[in-house]
Amino acid sequence: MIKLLKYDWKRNATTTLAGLLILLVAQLIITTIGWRNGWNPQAVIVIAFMLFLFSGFLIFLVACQTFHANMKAYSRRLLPLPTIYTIVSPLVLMFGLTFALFLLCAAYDAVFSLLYDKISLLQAVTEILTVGEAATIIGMGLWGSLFTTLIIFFSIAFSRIVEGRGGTFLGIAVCIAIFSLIPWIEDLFVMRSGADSLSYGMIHLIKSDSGDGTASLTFGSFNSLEWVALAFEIGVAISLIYGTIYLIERRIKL
Amino acid sequence: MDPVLEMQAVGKRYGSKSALENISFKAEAGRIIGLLGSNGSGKTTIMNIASGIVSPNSGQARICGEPVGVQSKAMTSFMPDKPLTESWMRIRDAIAFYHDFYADFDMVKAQDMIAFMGLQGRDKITSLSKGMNERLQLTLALSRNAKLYLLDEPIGGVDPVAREKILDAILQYYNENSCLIISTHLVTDIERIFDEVIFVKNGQLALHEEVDQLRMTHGKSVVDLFKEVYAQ
Repeated sequence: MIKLLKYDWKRNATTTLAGLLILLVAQLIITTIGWRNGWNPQAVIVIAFMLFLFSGFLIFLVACQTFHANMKAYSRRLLPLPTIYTIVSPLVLMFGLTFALFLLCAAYDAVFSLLYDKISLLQAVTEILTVGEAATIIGMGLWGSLFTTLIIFFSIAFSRIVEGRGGTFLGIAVCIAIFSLIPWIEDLFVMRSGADSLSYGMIHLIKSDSGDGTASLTFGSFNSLEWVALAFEIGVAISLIYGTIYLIERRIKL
Repeated sequence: MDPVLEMQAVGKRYGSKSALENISFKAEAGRIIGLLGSNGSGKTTIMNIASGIVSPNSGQARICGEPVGVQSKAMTSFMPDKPLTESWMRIRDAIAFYHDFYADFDMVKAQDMIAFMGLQGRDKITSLSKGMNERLQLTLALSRNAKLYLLDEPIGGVDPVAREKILDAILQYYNENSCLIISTHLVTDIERIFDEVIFVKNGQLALHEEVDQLRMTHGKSVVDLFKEVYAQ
C-alpha cells in the first residue's frame, strides 16, 4: 500500500508541488499587500481561505485523476494486489494532501493573527466548540469527503463501461442519479421528532425559540447525528466499493 | 504436476460480439508456444484472460493449478501490446517499480538486459522510439523469474534489426523452467523459436500441435500452414 502511494505521489509530485508553490506565492502577495495597504483583515482572510478551499478542490481532482489513470493502466492492473487498493491508494493520497493543506492553513492562520494582532481562527473555534463537537464536525467532514469521493470513483468506473463520449455521459448520469437518490431515500428513512427539529441528511438541528421573536438552531455533538441516515450511507459506501471493484475486474475493457 | 497454463472451455463476449468460444488447451513448463492468428482472431483476449486483466464469461483459466487472481498474477509476467509503464517515468523508475512490486524481479538480469538492449536508465520513457519502447517492455517482462511469460505481439511495428534484437533477447533471457507464450501474426520472423503452435481463428482453437509434429504430419512449415488456415 505504501509503495502504491509512493508511485501515486511520484506521478502527481510535479503538479502538486507546482500548485503548492503557486498557493504560497499567492497567499504571500495577498497578505503582504493587504497588510501594507491597510486592507480590511476580514477581506484578506476570506480571500486566503477561498484560496485554501480551491486548493482542497484541486487535491480532490488529483485523487479522481489518479484513480482514473490507475484503473486503466496495465502497470497497475497486473500487480499481484487486491483490486480494492486501486480505490484506497488515491483516497489515502487525497486525505494525506488535505492534511498537509490543513497544516499549511493553520500555519497561515497563526501568521495572520500575529500580523493583524487578532485572535487566530483556530483559537476562536476551540473556544466555541467542545472536544466532542469538534470531533463530530471533523468526523463528518472526513465522512462527507470519503462518501462523495466514492460516488465519483464509482461514476468514473461506470463511465468506462462504454467507450467514448457515450461513456462520459453515462458516468455523469450515474453520478447525478446517486447524488439525487441518496438524500431522497434518507428523507424517507429519517423520522422527524417534532416541529422543533430539522434534519439535513444525517445532521439533526434542534430549533429553540428565545422568546423575543428570534430562534436559533443548535448542532450538538453525537446526539445531533441521524444514525439511521449514517448507517444507510455506510451501507451505500460499502456497496459503492464492491460495485467499483466489480466494474474494474469484470466490465472495464483496457 | 499441474500445467503452467490451463484453459478449460473459456468463452468471452464483448457485448453482443463473441471474442472467444470454448477455448481449451494446456501449456507445460520448458516450452515456447506461438499463439498465432490473424488480427482480431482472439489472441490478445486469451493473453488478457491468462494475465488476469479480463475475466472470462465462461470456463476457467488456471496458472500452475491456481485460478487466475492475485496469486496467479505473482507467477505471470505479461508484456501487453500497450505500455507497461507510465508517462512520467524514466527507465530507472520503471525498473524500480517492478523491483518494488514483484518478488521474483531479478535486478541483475534487468541491468544486464538494459545494457544488452542499449537502453539508458536516465532516459524518459516518452522520449523513446517505438522500437526502444518495445525493448524496454520486454526487459521489464523477462527480468522476472516468472512461471509463465506472455508476450503479446513483441515484434509488431518494429524494424527488422530491432526484431532480431528482440528475438535474441527472448531466447537469451527467458527462464527455461517456465512456459513462454508469444502471440503474433508475423509468423515468418519468429517461427524458428517455437516448440508448439496454437492457431486461433474467429475466437476458436483451430489447431494446437508441436512444431516438429506439424512438419512431419502436414509436411509444411508453420508459415505455410498459417497461410493455408487463414486464407480460407
